This record gives sequence, C-alpha cells and structure tokens, in this order.
Amino acid sequence: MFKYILKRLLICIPVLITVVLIIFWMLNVLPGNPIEQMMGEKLKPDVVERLTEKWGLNDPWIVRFGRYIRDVFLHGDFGDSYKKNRPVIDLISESFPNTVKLAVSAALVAWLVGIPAGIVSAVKKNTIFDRLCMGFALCGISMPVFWAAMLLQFIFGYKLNLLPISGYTTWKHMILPAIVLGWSSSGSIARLTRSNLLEAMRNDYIRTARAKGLNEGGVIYKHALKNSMMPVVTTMAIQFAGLLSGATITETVFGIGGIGRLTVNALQTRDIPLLQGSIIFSTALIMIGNLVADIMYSFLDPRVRV
Amino acid sequence: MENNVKNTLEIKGMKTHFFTRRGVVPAVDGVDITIPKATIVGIVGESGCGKSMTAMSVMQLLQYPGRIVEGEILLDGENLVGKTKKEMCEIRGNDISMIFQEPMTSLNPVYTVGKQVTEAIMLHQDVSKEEAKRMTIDIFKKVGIPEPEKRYSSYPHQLSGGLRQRVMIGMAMVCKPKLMIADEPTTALDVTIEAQILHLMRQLRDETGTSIMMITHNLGVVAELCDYVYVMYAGKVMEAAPVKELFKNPSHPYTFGLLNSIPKITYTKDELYTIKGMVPNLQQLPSGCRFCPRCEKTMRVCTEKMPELIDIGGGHLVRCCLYDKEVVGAYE
Ligand SMILES: Nc1ncnc2c1ncn2[C@@H]1O[C@H](COP(=O)(O)OP(=O)(O)OP(=O)(O)O)[C@@H](O)[C@H]1O
Ligand SMILES: [Mg+2]
Repeated sequence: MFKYILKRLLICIPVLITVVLIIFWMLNVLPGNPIEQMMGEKLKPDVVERLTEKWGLNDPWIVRFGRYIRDVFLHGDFGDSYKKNRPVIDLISESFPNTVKLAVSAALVAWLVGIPAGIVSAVKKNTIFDRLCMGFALCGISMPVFWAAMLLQFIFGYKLNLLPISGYTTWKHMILPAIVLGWSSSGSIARLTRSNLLEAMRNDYIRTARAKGLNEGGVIYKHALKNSMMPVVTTMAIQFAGLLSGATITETVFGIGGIGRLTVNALQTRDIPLLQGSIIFSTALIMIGNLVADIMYSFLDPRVRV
Repeated sequence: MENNVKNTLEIKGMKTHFFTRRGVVPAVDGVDITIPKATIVGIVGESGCGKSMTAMSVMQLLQYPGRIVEGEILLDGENLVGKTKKEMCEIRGNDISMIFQEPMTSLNPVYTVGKQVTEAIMLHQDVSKEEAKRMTIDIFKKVGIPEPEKRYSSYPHQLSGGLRQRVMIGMAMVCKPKLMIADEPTTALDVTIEAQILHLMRQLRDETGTSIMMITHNLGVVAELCDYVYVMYAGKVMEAAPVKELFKNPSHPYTFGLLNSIPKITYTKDELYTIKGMVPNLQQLPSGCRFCPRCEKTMRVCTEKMPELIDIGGGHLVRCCLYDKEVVGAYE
C-alpha cells in the first residue's frame, strides 16, 4: 500500500511539469508584454527595460521554463508576484483557509443532502418522493451557480434579512455560499447514488441476501449500499479536490478571498508567477484527490486491494 | 416439537402469473408438487417452463409484476401463501433455504465469505458472534472446504467456483432447514466439480434429513441424485414419477423426447434426437394440450382438451390423452 501511494505521488511530478510547460507556452503565444499589461502603456522605456531584465523576460520561454522548474522543485521557490511584490507562496497560503472553509462546508451540504436523496429516490423508485428528489437534483445541476447565489442572497439576505450576503468572517457568512455550492454538487451525487443503488439491487447477491432472510432494509443497507457507493465515493473525492482548488464564481459573488479569485485576478493582471503558482497548486490538489479516491475505493472493494 | 406431517412441502394448485403491460404471463399455471421428508425431488424441463418461478414462489421472492394468484404452499402443513413479509423473513434462510446457479455472483464481493454465512446464523439464531463464527467454520468443514479457518476470512473472488458453491451450500444448511431449494446449482461448474457437489448434497440429506428441491435441466443430474422427479412444460407438470420408474418407463411423449435428446456414447452417427419446434409463448398457448404442436403422437382430442394428471400406477402420474381411458376407449 505504502509503495503504491509513493509511486502514485511520484507520477504527479511529471504531470505537474507538463502542466507548467503548457502554461509557459500559452502565455508565450498570447500577445502583449506582461509589464505593459500590468503597469499601463505610459511607462518610461528604461523602467520597462529594467523590469524586463529583473524578471528575466528577455530569455526564450523554454529557458525561463527550465529556470522555473529548477526553482520550484529544487528550492520550493515559486517566485514573487509581479503585481503585489510578495512571495506567491504567501499569497496562496493566505487565501487557502477561506477556500478550505468554503469547500468543507459545501461538501458537507452536498454529501448530507445528495446521498440520502439518492437513497430515498432509489428505494422509492417511480414514486412522488423519487420525482421530488430527482427534480431537486436536476435543479442543482442545471441552475447556474451565480443565479442560485443571487436568488438566495435576495431571499435570505435582502428580503428576510437573516444572513449576510458578502464577506467571510463569521459562521453566518459561511451558510449561503455552502448551500449554493453544495446544492450544485449534491445534484450529481444524488443521481449517481440513485443509479448505482438501483444497479446494485439487480445483482445476484441481493437475491442471496433476501434468501437468507434479511428484510428489505437490511438488504439495501448491508448489501446494496456498500457496493453502490464505490463510484459515488470516487466522484465525491474528485469533486472535493475541485472545490479545494477554488470556486471562482461563488467566491466572486459572495466576496470571499479564496484561491479561485486569486487565480482569476492573476490571469486578469497577467501576474505570471502568481498564475503559475496557483495553477500548480490546483493541479496538485486534484491529483491528490484522485489518489485519495483510489485509496478509498480499494478500502471499499476488496477486489482492487493492493 | 414432533410433527407428524410426512411431507416437508406440498404445493397445491399453485398459479404464479406475471402481470406485464403486454398482458398476463402464466409462468406457473396450476402446479402440484409434493416433497416428502428427507427426499430429493427433481424438477426438470426446458428453459422457460417455470422451474425457477416455482422456486421463487415457494420462497415468496417473486419480483414485480409476478404474483401467486392461486393455490397453497404447505411447509410442514403450514400455508406460506398469505404470510406477512416479516413472517417470511423468519422462514427464509431458516426453514427454507435456497442456492442458485451462479456461484460466481451469488456472494457479495465486498464481504468475506465467513461474514456472509455468519450473518445468516445471527439472523435466525440467538448466539454470540464467536459462537456464530465457530458454527460457520464447522459448516465449512462439513461442506468440504479445505482450511476452513483461513477460508473464513477470504473474499469471494479469492475462491474457485466450486468452493463458492460449497460456501453457498454451507450458508443454506447452517440453520438446518427443513427444505433446501437448489436452482441449477451445478450448471455453471465443470463435470468433476459437479459430481462432488451432487455427492455433497446427498450426503447432507442423509445426515440431516433435509428435503431438497433440485431444479435442473440435466436428466443426468436427476438420475444421479433424485428420488422422485417432476417434468414441467409451459408452467404445468407433465409427468411425475419415482426416478427409476421414469427412466425405465417414460410415458409422456415430452419426457420421451427429453430422454432421447441426451447424447449417448453408443451412438455411432453424429445425429442427436431433438424435440421439434420451440417452447410455446406463454401468452399464446395452444388450446388443448400445451405440448400438442410439438408432439409426435398427436390425436384429434389433443387439440381440444387439456388432459388431467392420470395415475398409471406405481406413483407414476402422466398428463397425456394417450392414457385417458375415455379417450382411448372412444378410439378403439
Ligand atoms: N418479470 C417477468 N415478466 C414476465 N414474464 C416473466 C418474468 N419473469 C419470468 N417470466 C416468465 O416466466 C417463465 C418461467 O421462467 P423461469 O425462470 O421459471 O424458467 P426456468 O424454467 O427456470 O428456465 P431456465 O431453465 O432458463 O432457468 C418464463 O417463460 C418467462 O416468460
Ligand atoms: Mg431458472
């Protein structure tokens, strides 16, 4: 098991390098000089020259790429943000706690709502309960996040005046974003739970469980659910990693300073070191999420145990 | 409590129908089957003749849209039709148990085989976990699983098909049921393993006195294992007889055909007898005898009248106009 995890972590490194390579190449083909882009076009030529020199922008992109890879992997140095003049690492670690709070609360909402809804609609297939749960799930999946956010802000923040609509300081601030983001993830979890549970119920071992005298509840909870949760758990882990790498729209609508907003700001201001840093960070998280999903899978399913 | 009923199971005039969108499918259409104590009774017939649905009806595990519409199922004299779900849960796995054709998929892949057998014990008997585990290892020993302690914590995928079927039999026998239903338990196994499993079933019957309903379409299995046999066709029993009698004196043309379609080594040519035609669609059954369109001995009455089961002596019953005294009399 340990060897397997180590191997999987090592595979992450070439993947990350490839991602950085792609970013470098893309930023290179985009038109415009990042310095002019950031500082406006009325800069004195000698200032531009000095900054270009300082940040090493004269070198071909492949050379800059090599230098960057060396700094990151050998010294753990992601460089300084052009715009804010501070280490990229610091900026990311400042935004990350907010993102974690948002991701955990949203994931809790998604799981606590999505899994029971999926179970109910599978057990009560083709009844009104099924329709209600699946309708709710479909809303979660198809409603744009910003629209759901504004709707809830309008109702709970403006009309009822119960909850704050912007900022991220108290626990009250966490509620609406968690609901908005959790709802959209709960939809796919509910649908996945439903279809997998229904499929598991068609297996031969379900018939065996009934034949040994288990009641229907026991059959579902002891025999069908564990089998049907495997793909769901995988999806949950990957979704969670996605949430950890930033929920840009939710963060923007609710004014939360998290990783998502940091990345978008970096992109808008051509803050190349910051952009690279946050993309590497997100990619690494998603890969770790996949790894965690696979490890959990192997705990659930003895057939793939390594 | 000593029970003086001599039959473990009596199915009386049972009809199991499926109420589908395209109409009613009479999968089991008035079947009488009796299984005496400590007896192995075979049920044979072509695919789709209602063998499994008869078994599932006894277990009361019919899935929607199937339903028992008529008849009685007496287990030790007690009618199972009309029992509540809860009462049936107490009976299933305890008084009647069942094993299936697919040993590969009939065990839950995420639990150890030991745990799955233990679960059956804990459901029906008031014993501690340790006691249940000990009983599981005992039954594993009894059904011939090597290294039972080690196998207790194996997962199904770590066992061969034959071993898994032994686990299933162990699970079915662990609560000492009155009746075990085996739905083609050896169809998916190779012949040597099949022989071992059949041997095991007979041995268990001899030791415990459990009655066995053996569903198969293999007449070789019937000859090997059963005491009595029912031949089913399109949801009805066509012939029923003690095994020796049936093989010596097959009386229904359908049974005749089945027996003749077993390959024999003595055949010199590559030809094999087959019953002509196909199993009828249960929703468009011929009037009169259901086997009539495929029968080689059809008479005019066969298209007009469904014959009753006729006793031709020696516990031998046949549903065929050839044995109907009135009909035969009229012809002579
Ligand atoms: N869900 C269902 N809906 C409609 N008809 C059904 C359904 N399930 C079974 N049947 C009918 O019941 C009949 C008997 O099926 P059954 O499974 O008992 O056959 P069998 O004798 O066990 O055959 P096999 O040897 O293939 O196992 C089939 O011909 C089929 O038409
Ligand atoms: Mg069958």
